[in-house]
Amino acid sequence: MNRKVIGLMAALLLAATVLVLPVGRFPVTVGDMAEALGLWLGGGEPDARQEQILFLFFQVRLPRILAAMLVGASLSVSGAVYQNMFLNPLVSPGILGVLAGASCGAAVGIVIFSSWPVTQALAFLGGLMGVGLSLFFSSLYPKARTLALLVGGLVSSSFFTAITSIFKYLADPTRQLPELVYWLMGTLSRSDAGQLAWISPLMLLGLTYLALNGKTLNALSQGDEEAQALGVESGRTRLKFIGAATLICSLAVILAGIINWVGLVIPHVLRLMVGPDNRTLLPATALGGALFVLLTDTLVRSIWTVEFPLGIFTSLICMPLFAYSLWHDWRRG
Amino acid sequence: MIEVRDLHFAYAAGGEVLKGLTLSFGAGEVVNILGPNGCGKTTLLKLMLGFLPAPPGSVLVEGRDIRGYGRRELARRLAYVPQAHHGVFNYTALDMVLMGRTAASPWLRFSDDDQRRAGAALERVRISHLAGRHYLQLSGGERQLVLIARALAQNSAFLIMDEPAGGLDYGHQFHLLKLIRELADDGGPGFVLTTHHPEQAVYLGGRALMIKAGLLTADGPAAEIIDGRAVRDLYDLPPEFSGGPASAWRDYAR
Repeated sequence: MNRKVIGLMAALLLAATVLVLPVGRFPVTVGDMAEALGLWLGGGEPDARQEQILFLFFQVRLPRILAAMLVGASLSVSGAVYQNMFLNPLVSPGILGVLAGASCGAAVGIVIFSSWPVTQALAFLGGLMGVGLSLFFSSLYPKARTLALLVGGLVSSSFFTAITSIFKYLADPTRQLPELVYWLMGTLSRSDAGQLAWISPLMLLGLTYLALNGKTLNALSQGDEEAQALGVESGRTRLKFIGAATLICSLAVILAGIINWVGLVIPHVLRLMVGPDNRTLLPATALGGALFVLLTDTLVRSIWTVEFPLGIFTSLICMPLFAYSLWHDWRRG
Repeated sequence: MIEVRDLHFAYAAGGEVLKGLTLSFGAGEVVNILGPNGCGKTTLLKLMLGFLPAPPGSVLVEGRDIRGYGRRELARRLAYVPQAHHGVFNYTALDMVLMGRTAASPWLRFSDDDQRRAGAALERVRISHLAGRHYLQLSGGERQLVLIARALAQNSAFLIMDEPAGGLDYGHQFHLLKLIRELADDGGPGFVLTTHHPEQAVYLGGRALMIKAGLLTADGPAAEIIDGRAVRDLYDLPPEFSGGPASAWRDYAR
């Protein structure tokens, strides 16, 4: 049954990819694209329009689609992992201060350095610092580490949000502030093939590592003592999984800025559908998150002539979804 | 075989909880640990399971210091049964029991052998019919049985249980103890459990340990050492306490 769900979701994701390929300002059909690609694969000589289509496919549509899928998968899987690590189905990547830390790093990059590569590197560093601060707080109260880590995450989030506000206040209002605000809203409009080439292997590595560790995550979701008795070095393993989840999450922030809610709602909804067993849940969450962000991103870049930030729409769509899943969860007992 | 040698332990804040315990648990033994709240029973279990760091040389499993064991190695020798709890994620009973096989195969799929052992463990506690049910929808008694099945699936030499009957109603307590006795008679594993009820230790039989203020005060066959006077002394009860319930349970046991 669960394998069927995963197979079905993979098929849906593939179908969605083909369907969204022709969506965009440049008018092109799937048939045109297939023809141009066939020619390219066969080593033929494309005409001017086919050249354009190939450029569009490789430099615009494909990177954007891949970025949407990777961001969705990474945010959702890291959310599912955090939920297991903290024994709480209602936490999200934001809880460890990763998103707040990353947005703070981005703010520093935009305002002080005004350089896109530096901004990206600082966003990643900020994400790591966000978790670092949370972990530091948990180490101050070793009696209840799991709880202390959550409180540490809250402290970390509000700390980095405060720093970000300082930079918003200091930012040049004509040039830097709009860029900063746009980043904070979350968008895939900046993703390009070059950026993807160095981010995607790391993301895929992190996703694969976590997806292969479903059994250990299951044991850890039982709490420290039970996990230890089941044969898992709980402290060290927990840190490894949190580290991997934070890595893919920070990479998602580099690709797309701050996209809230996906990391909370997608794993929560899928847990209702396929159950909590992480051997199934993690692959299902990766596919579900990829599908969700791909469809939402296609929506935001096609319904208006102006592109809206993706992060706003994920919040708008996720909220009722979350309310429904909570209600459903409660009703089922 | 678990050996405890002159075990002292103090938490970071507070005085010594265990003040030099020396005892051992042989293969297949059923051992009841009795004592008032705060006497160090649970601390002893946690030290034996490696949840707390035992001083070097004071806890030995199969002749080796527990500190030298990795978690996976230790999990193949000792299994832990917590009190029936609420849990957070709604796994099926079978998924819960399969977790007992984590130490044997931490990667990818569970082998046919893992599946077979999980099925056999459910069978042994007679809850095969609950395999597909969700843990959080089960009653407290059923959850406790699932946790015992999970520990049995670990295929270890000892099951270490912290108040297994705690939180269960009277009838379920009785059935649980009966099950433990049957499992022990039917080829083991060994059971080490704490209890607040001397009469239950009498009913379960095997060996009883009495711990008071971090010291071992009695160690012997449950049926022989648990009587009105011993219980009065252990729990500081007034002279009018006759030890009635213990003898009543002894009659059940016969």
